[in-house]
Amino acid sequence: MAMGVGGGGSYNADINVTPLVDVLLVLLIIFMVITPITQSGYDVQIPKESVVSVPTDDKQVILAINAQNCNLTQPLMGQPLPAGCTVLLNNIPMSMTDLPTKVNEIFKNRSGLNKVMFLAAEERLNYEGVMKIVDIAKKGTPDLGIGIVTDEALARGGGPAGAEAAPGI
Amino acid sequence: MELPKGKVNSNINVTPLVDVMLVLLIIFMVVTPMLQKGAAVQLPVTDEPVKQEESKDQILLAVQYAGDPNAASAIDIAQGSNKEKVTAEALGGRLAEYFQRDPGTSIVIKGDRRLNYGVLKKTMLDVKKAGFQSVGLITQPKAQEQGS
Repeated sequence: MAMGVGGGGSYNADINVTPLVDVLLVLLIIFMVITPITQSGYDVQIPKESVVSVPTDDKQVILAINAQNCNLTQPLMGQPLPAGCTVLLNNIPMSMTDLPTKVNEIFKNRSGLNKVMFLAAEERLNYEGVMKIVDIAKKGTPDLGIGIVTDEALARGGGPAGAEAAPGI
Repeated sequence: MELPKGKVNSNINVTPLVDVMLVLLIIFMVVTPMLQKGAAVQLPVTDEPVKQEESKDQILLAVQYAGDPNAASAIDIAQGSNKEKVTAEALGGRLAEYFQRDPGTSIVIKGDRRLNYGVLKKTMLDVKKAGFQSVGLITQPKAQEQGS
């Protein structure tokens, strides 16, 4: 790259743009890599009491996560969910592999306010574990809404199967 | 390259390489702290979170962890360039003020992954009590686990 001047009295008057181009290309690549890192996550609906009491035609679906069926009491720190982890979907035990298909089956013909799955998780469970399960449940149904339930008893499978349990919010 | 009479230079010229590497280094030094918006927390990692719309006036709550998984050590509220740190107890009152100022603002929560779900649930209930109707829970896509 260094131009040897003085080889035989010839001078090169051109500006050497190679390093400039090098640096600019590197800059370009870096911004190409960084731009897609935007915020991503899950929308959670926390409707007011008045909104929930709007009569819905379809049965409410409650996804219950408790420590008895899925031991998430320790921080996961990026590790996968413990093996053999199950959740209760309207009180029916469900493995992680069946969950997305079953959720999709229930919600594929619903829309709007009926297309909301209520999440009842025990408070002592690790947040990351709960979010991983929500992620799995939403896999087949990307536009599924998530609602939260305040009643802890529902997380342990308190209500009867498929009951129209009123979300406590 | 012209070769001067009889002399061959066999050294690799590393100067441009070093130039580029230094520029890279400086750029990463500048950019890395800006990658995460709001206060730094360890986000939960999930497979395929949905892209969340980012608006300029969104309120970002960063729920911080300091040893106790059952309690948030502090919650940072960030809206644009305004930042403030509140305790979990004071959050509800502050959010009510934000809601009065602009009820249409969207809220996103960044929760530390070492916390328990109950802490996040409580935060969401505070958001609800203030009047807001939906929140976004920010997670980190698996592919970017190493970054930020």
